[in-house]
Amino acid sequence: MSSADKEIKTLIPGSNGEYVRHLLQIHFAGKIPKAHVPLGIIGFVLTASISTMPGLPFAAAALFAFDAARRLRKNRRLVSAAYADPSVLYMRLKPDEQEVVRNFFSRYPMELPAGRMRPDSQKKDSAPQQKQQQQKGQQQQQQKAAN
Amino acid sequence: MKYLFLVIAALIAVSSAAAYHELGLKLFGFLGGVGAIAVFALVQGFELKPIFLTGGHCNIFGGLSKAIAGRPANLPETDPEELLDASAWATFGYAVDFVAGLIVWPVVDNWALIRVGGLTYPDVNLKHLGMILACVFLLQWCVQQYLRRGGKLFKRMGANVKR
Repeated sequence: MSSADKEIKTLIPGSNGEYVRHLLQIHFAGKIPKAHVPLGIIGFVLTASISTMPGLPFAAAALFAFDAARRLRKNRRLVSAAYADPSVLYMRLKPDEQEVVRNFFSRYPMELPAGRMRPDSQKKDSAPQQKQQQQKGQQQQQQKAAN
Repeated sequence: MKYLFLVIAALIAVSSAAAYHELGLKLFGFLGGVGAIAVFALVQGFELKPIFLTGGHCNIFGGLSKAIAGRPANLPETDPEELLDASAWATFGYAVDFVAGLIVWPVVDNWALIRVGGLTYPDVNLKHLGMILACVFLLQWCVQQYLRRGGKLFKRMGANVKR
C-alpha cells in the first residue's frame, strides 16, 4: 500500500474540505516578502548614487516597504476571507497546485471527515493487488496439478 | 546530513553574534555588547519563528531548496492567524537584520562613494556582503533544511510536525 492510499491522521476537526482550507491558509499565511528587504536597500543605494535629491533614496526604500506591507495585508485578508469562502484560496493557487488539490478531493471527498478516503477508492486501489494474488494462486494450483 | 546544516547554522550564529558583540562593545562599552547580542537573538527569533511553526515549510530560497532536495515538509497543523503574525514580525526582523548587517559589516569602506556616485566593483567588500547574506538568509535556510530532514525542535518551539 503506497502512502497515497493511506488515510490521513489529523488533529483538525471537521471535513476534508476544512482540512484542505486549513492547509491552504497555512500556505498563504507563511508567505514572507523576504526579497523586498535587499531590494529596498539596493533601491536606496542606487537612487542615492544617481540622484542629488536628498529625499529620493528614502522614498525608494519606502516604496519597497509599502509593497511588502501591502502583500502581508493581502495575505491576511485572504486567510480571513477563507473562513467564509475557501474558494478564494483555491483561485490564487498556481495551475499545478490546483491540480494537486483536485486530485486530493477526487480521493478524499470534501464532505467526508478529515483524512477519510472515498470508500470505493480503497477498493479500486486494492483491486489490482487482488488480481495479482488470484493469478499467483492459479499459477500455484496449476503447478501442483502438473506435479 | 541534517546535523551538517545544524552545525553550519550554529557556526553562522556564533560568528554573527560575535561580530554584533564586538561592534556593540566598541560603540557603547560592555552594555552595548550585551545589547547587541540581545538584538541579534531577538531578530533571529522573529525570522525563525515561521520556520519553526511550519516545520521548515516556509521557503527560504525556494529554487535552492529544490536543488538541494531536502524532503518536502508536511504542512503542520499550526494556527494560520499565529503564522500570519509570525510572518509580519519575520518581515520586520529581516529588515532590521539586513540594516544591522550593513552596520556590522560595511559593504563599502567609504560610504561617501555611494552619495557622490563614484562606486566601482573593487570598492565593494565581497566578504562583508557574504557575511550579511549568511546572517540574514543562510542561517534560516540551514535551520529550514534541518527541519525538512526530520530534525527535532525543543518542546513549545514550534508545531509538532507529523512525518
